[in-house]
Amino acid sequence: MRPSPLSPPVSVILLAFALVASGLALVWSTHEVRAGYARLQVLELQRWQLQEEYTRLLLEINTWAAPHRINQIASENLSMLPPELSLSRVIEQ
Amino acid sequence: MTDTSQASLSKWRYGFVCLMLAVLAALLAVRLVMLQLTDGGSGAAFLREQGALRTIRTAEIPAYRGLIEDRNGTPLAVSSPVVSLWANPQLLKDSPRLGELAEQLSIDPITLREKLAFYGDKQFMYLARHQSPDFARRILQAQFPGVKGEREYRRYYPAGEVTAQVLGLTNVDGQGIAGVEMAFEDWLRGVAGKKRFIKDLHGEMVRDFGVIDEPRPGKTLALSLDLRLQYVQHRELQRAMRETGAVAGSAVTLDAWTGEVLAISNYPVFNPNARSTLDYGGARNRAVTDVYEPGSTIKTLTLVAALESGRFSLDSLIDTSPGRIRVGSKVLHDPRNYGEMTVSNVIEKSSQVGVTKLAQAVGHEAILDVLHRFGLGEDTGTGFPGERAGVLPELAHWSDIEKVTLAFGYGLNATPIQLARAYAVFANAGVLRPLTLLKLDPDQTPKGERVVSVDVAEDVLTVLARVTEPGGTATLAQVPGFSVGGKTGTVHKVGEAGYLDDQYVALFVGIAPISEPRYVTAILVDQPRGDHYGGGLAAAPVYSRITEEVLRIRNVRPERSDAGALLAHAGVTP
Repeated sequence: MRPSPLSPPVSVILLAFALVASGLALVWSTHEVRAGYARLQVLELQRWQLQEEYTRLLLEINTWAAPHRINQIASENLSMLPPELSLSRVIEQ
Repeated sequence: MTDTSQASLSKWRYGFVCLMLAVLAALLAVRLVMLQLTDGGSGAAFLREQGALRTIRTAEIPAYRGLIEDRNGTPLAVSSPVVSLWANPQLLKDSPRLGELAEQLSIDPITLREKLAFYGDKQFMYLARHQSPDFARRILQAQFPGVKGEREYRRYYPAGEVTAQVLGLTNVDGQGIAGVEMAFEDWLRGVAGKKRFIKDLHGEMVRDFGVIDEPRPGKTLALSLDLRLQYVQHRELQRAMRETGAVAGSAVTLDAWTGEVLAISNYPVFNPNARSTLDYGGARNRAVTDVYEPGSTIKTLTLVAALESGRFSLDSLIDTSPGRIRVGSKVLHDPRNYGEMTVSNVIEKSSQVGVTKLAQAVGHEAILDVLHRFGLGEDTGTGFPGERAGVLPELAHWSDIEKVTLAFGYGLNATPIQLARAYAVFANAGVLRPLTLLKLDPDQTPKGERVVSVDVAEDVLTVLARVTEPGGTATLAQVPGFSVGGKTGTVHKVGEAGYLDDQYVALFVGIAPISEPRYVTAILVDQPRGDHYGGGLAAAPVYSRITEEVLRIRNVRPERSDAGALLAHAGVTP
């Protein structure tokens, strides 16, 4: 049998290093998962809150811009009237 | 015993004990290996399963229900995040802070205690559903024992009662239970996702395994409705109800060219955002779900039958003197003796005698055939839940009076939207289209079906325009700047003992503008009081006011100025 390029003690030492390295990698990745998960939770919460705000604003803008309200302000506060036909001009495009 | 034998015995005993201990240790090791690696009986899988049962939970991730928008993208129904507060009664029922909780939730402490006792052996009970996130956050921060929050969505309708009956409602769990919400449930519904997590002793999440199913939000639904028109209809209908003292009313506006429903309103109304005061009578979309006898609005279709028979043209003369006619045992009257009049005049004046003579000449089969072809007695195609198709008479034996009354719209029934669809045929040069509540792309317009020739459709349109001109029955339907056409109807309501003398339904169905007919609006006023009960007085003015806004909002070019002069082309002002 051809002798192995590395003598047994060296390969054992390398394997031991690899073992320690993989152990540390496991610790590191577990930590990363935890940190990542915490970030995810924060982002999910933010998404929920943003959606909350978005729908609230959507409802708000539509309440402010409701035709009924615009009509009322136009006629009562601004004394506006629908244009009469005699005041209208037809513009051909 | 000798010392030697004693020594050998104790040696043997020592060896035996050691062996036994070793065997026990080996048994434990084998058992350990079995539990870890094999799966016999109560093996590894069983243990894992039992462990999971005690710690792993799946939670729902709520999904957003699709938005409903009008044709311009204005939101009509929006799902907003809310929090439902719930409690574990076993943890909460003996808490000394119950009073404080009841106060914060504004509920009676005794009621809360009773409810907790009732659900005492359960682990879940709703405390308050659909609370605003801010409020729920305050309650949750106070950390009452066993009180938790659950994220949900609640449906809000920004336009409130203006669109309430068309949009319908969702139930507390977010499922469509009426109207568009129900009809397009599959499209709007979001599918909740699932995630798995490990919980601790108190049920708090300690670690997330991740999402098993992503939540799938519902899709946005674009309706054919225009909120501005919807609002105009709503306002004018309310005004008409006030002015006529009527009990109910409906308005429908269609785009005849595409079959899109631009607006539907009804009275009475309800506020879809205030569930506790929900009145189901006001929740009905009457324009689609309620049938009425259409009365004189059907005379237009009798005219179609007369023109198609080839025996009449618009100028054919009919002698209506002496202003009354006997049919079977009944005598039908005109308001006065109109004498000899043209077929066109008969419709313009809505002469009973004239129409009776037309009906007798063409026969009821021909009229019934026209009614069928114009889509009466069948669905309009909107798919609206609870839509009624109306009924056309199917009699084995027709009496003389039944043959005639069919021609002026008694003995059959139809919904206001069906009438609008039938009149849309004239705006479409004779083509009947299915209706839709959804916004259509220009190339999606359904083909429709030709039900009457272009010539007949144009003739009828000419007559309808004359109805709103001086001398017609509906001069109040006129719209400044445009010529419009339409037909009135005034129908006696049916009571327990037949037709009622003093209760009416006033109708008007109109088409605008006549030069480029496109917008069809049907108005129904149910039981107007006082002297102004007829279609021409109670319904036609509503049509006029709504159509004026329809034409303005849809950017239709005025045909003439106030003075009646035609507006000229490019830059030339009157």
